[in-house]
Amino acid sequence: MSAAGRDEQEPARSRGEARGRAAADDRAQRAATAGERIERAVASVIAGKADEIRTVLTVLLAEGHVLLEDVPGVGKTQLARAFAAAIGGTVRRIQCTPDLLPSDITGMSVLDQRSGELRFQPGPVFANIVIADEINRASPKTQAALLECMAEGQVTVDGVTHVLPTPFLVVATQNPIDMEGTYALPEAQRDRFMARLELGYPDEDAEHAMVAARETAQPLDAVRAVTTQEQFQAEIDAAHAVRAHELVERYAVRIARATRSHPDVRLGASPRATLQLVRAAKAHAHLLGRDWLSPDDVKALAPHVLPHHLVMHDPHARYDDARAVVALALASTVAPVMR
Amino acid sequence: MSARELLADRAPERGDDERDPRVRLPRRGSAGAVETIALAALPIAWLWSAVSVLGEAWLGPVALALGSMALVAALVRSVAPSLVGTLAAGVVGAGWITALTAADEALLGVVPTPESFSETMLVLSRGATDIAWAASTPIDARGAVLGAIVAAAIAIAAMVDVLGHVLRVPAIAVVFAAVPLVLPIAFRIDVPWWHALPGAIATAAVLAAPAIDERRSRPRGWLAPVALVGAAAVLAAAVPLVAPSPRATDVDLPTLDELFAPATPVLSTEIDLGDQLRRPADRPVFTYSTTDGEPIVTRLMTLPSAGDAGFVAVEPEPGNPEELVEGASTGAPVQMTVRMGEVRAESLPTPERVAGVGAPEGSSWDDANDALRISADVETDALEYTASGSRSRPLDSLPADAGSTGHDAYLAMPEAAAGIAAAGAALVDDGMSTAQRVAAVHAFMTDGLWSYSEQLDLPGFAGAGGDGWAALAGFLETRSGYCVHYASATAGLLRGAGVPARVVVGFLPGTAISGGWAVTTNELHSWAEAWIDGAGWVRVETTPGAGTGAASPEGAAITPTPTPSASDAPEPAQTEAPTPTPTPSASTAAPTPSVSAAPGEPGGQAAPLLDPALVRGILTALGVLLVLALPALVRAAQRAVRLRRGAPGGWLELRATLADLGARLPASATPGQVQAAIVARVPQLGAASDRVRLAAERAVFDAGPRDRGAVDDDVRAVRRALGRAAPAWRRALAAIAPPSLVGVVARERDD
Repeated sequence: MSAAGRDEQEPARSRGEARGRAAADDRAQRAATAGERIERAVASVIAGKADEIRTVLTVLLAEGHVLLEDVPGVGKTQLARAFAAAIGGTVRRIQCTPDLLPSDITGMSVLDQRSGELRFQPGPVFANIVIADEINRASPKTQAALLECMAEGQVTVDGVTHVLPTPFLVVATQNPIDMEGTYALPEAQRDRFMARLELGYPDEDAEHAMVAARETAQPLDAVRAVTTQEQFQAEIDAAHAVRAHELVERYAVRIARATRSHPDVRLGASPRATLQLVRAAKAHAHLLGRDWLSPDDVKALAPHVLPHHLVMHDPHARYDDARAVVALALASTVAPVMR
Repeated sequence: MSARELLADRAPERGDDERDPRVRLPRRGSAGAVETIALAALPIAWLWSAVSVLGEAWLGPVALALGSMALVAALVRSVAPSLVGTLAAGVVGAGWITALTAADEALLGVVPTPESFSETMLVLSRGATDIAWAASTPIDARGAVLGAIVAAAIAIAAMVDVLGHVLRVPAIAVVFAAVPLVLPIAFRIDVPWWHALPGAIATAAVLAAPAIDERRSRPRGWLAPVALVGAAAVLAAAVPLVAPSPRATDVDLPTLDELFAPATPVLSTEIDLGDQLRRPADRPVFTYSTTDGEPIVTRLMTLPSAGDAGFVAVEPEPGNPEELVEGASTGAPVQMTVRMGEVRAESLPTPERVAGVGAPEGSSWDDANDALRISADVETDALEYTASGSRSRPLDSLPADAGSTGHDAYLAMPEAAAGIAAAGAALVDDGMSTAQRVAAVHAFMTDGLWSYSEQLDLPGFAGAGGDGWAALAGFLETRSGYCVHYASATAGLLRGAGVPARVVVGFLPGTAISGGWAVTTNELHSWAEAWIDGAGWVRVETTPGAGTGAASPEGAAITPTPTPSASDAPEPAQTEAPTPTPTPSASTAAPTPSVSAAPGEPGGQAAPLLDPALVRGILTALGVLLVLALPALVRAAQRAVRLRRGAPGGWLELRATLADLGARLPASATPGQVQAAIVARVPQLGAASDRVRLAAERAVFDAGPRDRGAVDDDVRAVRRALGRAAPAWRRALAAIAPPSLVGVVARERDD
């Protein structure tokens, strides 16, 4: 029996509702498969990092920017490039150095010889996915320019505002700040990133798999785009449309407030961090095929989304301390009870 | 010190503490120091509520035993899991019980051996029996009684330890610790409110202790816990003030004597006018034969002194071996040979007016109380002895003009009995002879309607309130009581009327067997005696149905209940004694008062269909079962109510089941964490629990459907699997004391 035939047997009054549900189911199905396709493609390049890949994907679906921070050589750039390749759309990469100028990122107006007019030459930031490699090697001025683009979604050069394409996602990588020749990101600018991740060293099997794969070919070359720019934007919209109940929203708010009352913390999670937490949790729910938000979505994303927003009293406090504060906030916040 | 200075003092400390909040928090799932102390003090505090029954002698041994248990448990818990601490405390407790009950049989006095164990059990059962059959309160807590009290305290302490430390449900531990409060209620003694106060305070302390411990590790306000303890203490102390007195309620509690029927008859000769008659099961006491072939009334103890709450025995003094009961030689001599059964008694039966006795080994004559005293360590079974004496003369054969001289000590009445003395004086004229006065009192006590009843309107120990004479005055108003009341009232009226009188406790003649008579505990009786010159001590029997000749209709109408011993004889004694005797009052042997009572029991010659004791036992067992099953029933009802709310209720039920089985998740646990806890226990049912969780989440967080019954099968399957995955003791505990009734969510922080 065909789908149409089934439809006709449905009572007329519930047909629209049934179709809506079918559409929602269909969309959830497509989203799961799109997400899985991207995850699979990225995993073929970075072995043994399924959780990190899922987190990065979640943040990208929530239209957030990701900051990957770790020692050199664990695959930060590889991961960013693999995502860029799998998602499709335009991809640009900025290798940050101390002598990189803001105009090298945003683009500049050049004189068109033939027309004699000033013509805007877009910089590498005009892309769907921008990989900002080793962002903490760029000078503060350049960092500020990039982060302004991230916040505003537009570039203003010579008084003319140029809108960046959508989706616009920045995957920045950086080395730990105690490495040589780096400029630490100011707190205000760290705030622009939705999540901060550490990759860590792969385990023995994963590392061996990586070595074996590289013997013959560069796996990154084999990654093909599994979605189009439009498809990915649709995924983002679907994730944004996930419904959040007041109970869950308040749960997220209480977690953020709990970080503010901790005695070691000078600045707790900002309201922007709370917004980002809910947004990322929605993407998490969407990836799991749900169109409503569960407290577990919030709980799963909080350790990635909140800690880098915290500013501790102790100037020598490490990132792990902030993570411990968030873990404590999660443990002391009463979860909504289902009755 | 000003508030500012206080704050300044505390500030650095506060900073240190909160830098790492985990440093001084008590280990998760274990009690803090204050809670440990409060839990250790809890059983002693509640045992104090029974102080009006148990006296105070137990306090030292119990405090030592429980203190050592708590100390050992705390030491062990500092290095090992909580359960090991409880086991160590149990070992210490067992050592204490062994040392108190069977030190000679045990290794080093404390290590139980098979021999010491059986001895311990014997001593404990004797102690429990002694408590249950105590004739007066407070009980003398020595020997077996002390052993039983300490053992009970140790058992309660061990239970409190398990509930408070291992299972972490102090609220339930409190209920178990309050068990001793049942004792005074069962004894029908009013508990003054201050007796329950230590228990109430300890309860409040246990409930507030977690908060106090938390504040010791992290400075916070003290107002809340202090207020909580105060409020709980005030509330608990107010309960006895507003609760009805146990003596004023109609509720007939199952008393201890029904639960602890002694294997050996206990012959208590103390009289308590305020209590109802507590009658043990009918047991043989002794058999006897007489030289003249007639039955005889026997004396066990004489109560010569009118005390504060009734007639009492006085200090024993070694007696004159010539004529044991004064005036015994005035009647026709008779000799009786007694063969004792196994009993526990202070004295042995002798002829009513004993003149001489071949005292058996271990016995001696007590002249002050006219009793053949026997020391407690003498085995009475098969003890045989012979005694001579005479029967009391019938009242109507007394010389009408006889007086009474030289016995003025038997006229004294205490202040509390002034009303009865006055009533006695009102019955006689100055010109009457002693014999006429006795006749007048006897006539007052037997004319009109007097009824025999073992149930009193206001039962309760006279010893508790000293209201024995008041109870007797009440008896004279209602004219309803049992032999103790008739005997005491008659003796009191006789004294008021100027006749020397006293109360005797002894046995009615009993039932005939081949070659003699058999006497059982049912024949235990008491009567009054009056001194008349020339006749000696004369029995003045006024109890209806006990041979007064003027029995009340009730006493005469009821026939004796057949007893196993009675089946040897073809007929009860009533029809067996047709021959005239010189002492009609004794030989008539009408239905004994004890037998004529018990109106609820089926009378007549036919054996009852069901033994009432069996019915009582079954009812008691059902009651105990109901109490044990109550938490499970509440849980079942809770489950049904929750499942009516659809998937969210089902999910809450799963979480409660986890809590019952020992996995109390913190309040911060999200549905995912609960799900993980379920899957960790029953991996095969991950899908089922996931369905419940998704349906519940959709219902709560997305206003989804709450269809009843949609997840019931999944909930049931997961519940069953969770139960099967848990150890048997956990399941049993979940049924008897489900922790989820106290709270589904653990209060500890999840670090």
